[in-house]
Amino acid sequence: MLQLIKQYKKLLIILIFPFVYLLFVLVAPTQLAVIAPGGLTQVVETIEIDGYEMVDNFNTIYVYTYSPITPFQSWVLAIDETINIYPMTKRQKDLSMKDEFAQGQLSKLVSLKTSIIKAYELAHDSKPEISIDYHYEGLYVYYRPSHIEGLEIGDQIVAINGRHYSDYTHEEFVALAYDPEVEFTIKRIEGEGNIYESVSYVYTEDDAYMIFYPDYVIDLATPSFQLPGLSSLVGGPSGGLIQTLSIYVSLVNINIGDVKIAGTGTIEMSGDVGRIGGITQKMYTAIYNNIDIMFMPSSHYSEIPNMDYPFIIVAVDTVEEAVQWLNEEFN
Amino acid sequence: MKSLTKIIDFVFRFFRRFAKLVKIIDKKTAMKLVVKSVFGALLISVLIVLIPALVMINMFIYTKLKFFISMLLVLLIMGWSFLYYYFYYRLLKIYHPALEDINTKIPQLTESTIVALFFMILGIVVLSVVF
Repeated sequence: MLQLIKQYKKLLIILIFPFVYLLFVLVAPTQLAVIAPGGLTQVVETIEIDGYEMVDNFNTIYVYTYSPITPFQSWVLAIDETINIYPMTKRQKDLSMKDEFAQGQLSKLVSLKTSIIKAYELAHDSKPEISIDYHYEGLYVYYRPSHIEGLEIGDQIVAINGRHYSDYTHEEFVALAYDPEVEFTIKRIEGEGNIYESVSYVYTEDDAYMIFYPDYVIDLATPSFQLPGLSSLVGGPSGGLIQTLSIYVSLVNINIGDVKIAGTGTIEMSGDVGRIGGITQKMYTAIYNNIDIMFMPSSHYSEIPNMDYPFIIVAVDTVEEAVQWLNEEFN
Repeated sequence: MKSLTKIIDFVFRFFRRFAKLVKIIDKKTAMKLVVKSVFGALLISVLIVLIPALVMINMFIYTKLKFFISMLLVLLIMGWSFLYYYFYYRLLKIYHPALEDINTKIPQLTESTIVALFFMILGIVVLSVVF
């Protein structure tokens, strides 16, 4: 071995510096994150409603996010206008890959439940036999500073400073969670039962604010449903609007032919359609996938790149507006 | 039929020659130095393929190229087996000057090809499961 090294000593000395440099740019993490165009997921793969055939026209748009990226990736991606490179947020720096995955899965669960509830409520207006009963059960932790011991993403908060969720609306209860000094009572499913733990937290200026999602439990739905999409690895809340529309159209049986519809936007229990990340990348994904109609939150409309889109853009503030548009267009 | 017999005969003769050469090399080599050659060859060959492999792994960020890059990665791993055996026999000859007169090309290429084929099959199985 030494003989071989001696034989190529000069060459090795010359090569060692570029080798170490290349190794560095290919491995070292930067403080940058990336959003890149992704693909479409058919809502029909995500939700099954007993006795109803889900229409296959609706697709949620997903994008890829990576953080942190290497210097090499930042150089390569900088020349691609479809990709957005941005400094990592305080929360992104704080989260592990496991946390990010948990966030994606949690937001997907909440989004699916909200979509089901909203779609059933909207469909109930024209088909009274469709009904849904649900109740509020506190908060899910979507983001927490990672230094808080005993508080994990996905934990359910059932009481804050001794005040139980059952005495409050979601808006009131979530406001309590932002007190500077709090003691959360956590409900965590372990094995076949629930365990309850207390976690104290004092807010400091170095911490990013926590994010919570409402935990609505569906007691009874007619017709019943299954959520096979929960086992998929794709996560996130941005499919809310399009999931709601897909379920609604399937329940009230609107004939929309073979039009390919995609969309993005979160869904709130109030029916409001919320903002999402990576709207430009979602627009590119929609172009690559040859869709006919794209739904998006109105607040994003002014942010999309100025170009000729080969599809109709429907910008809405609420799911009711989207439903009205579909009814006018196809009914 | 005659040509098939010829091919089979050639293959058998080739493998007999290969086995004979491996036996001779085994006789003339010490275990300790073989282990040193293995680790040396592993180190050199891994260092050589490390940069191209990392470039490919970095390029996975282009999701559209995932399949293409995965295939390139399989080819790179197949190529690595040839590099590894090249350096293994090179080091073995340095540690055992008595091997200089022995034809190590046949064992080197045969073993490289077998390992490369193994990686190719493994790669095909993994790619067909993932994509």
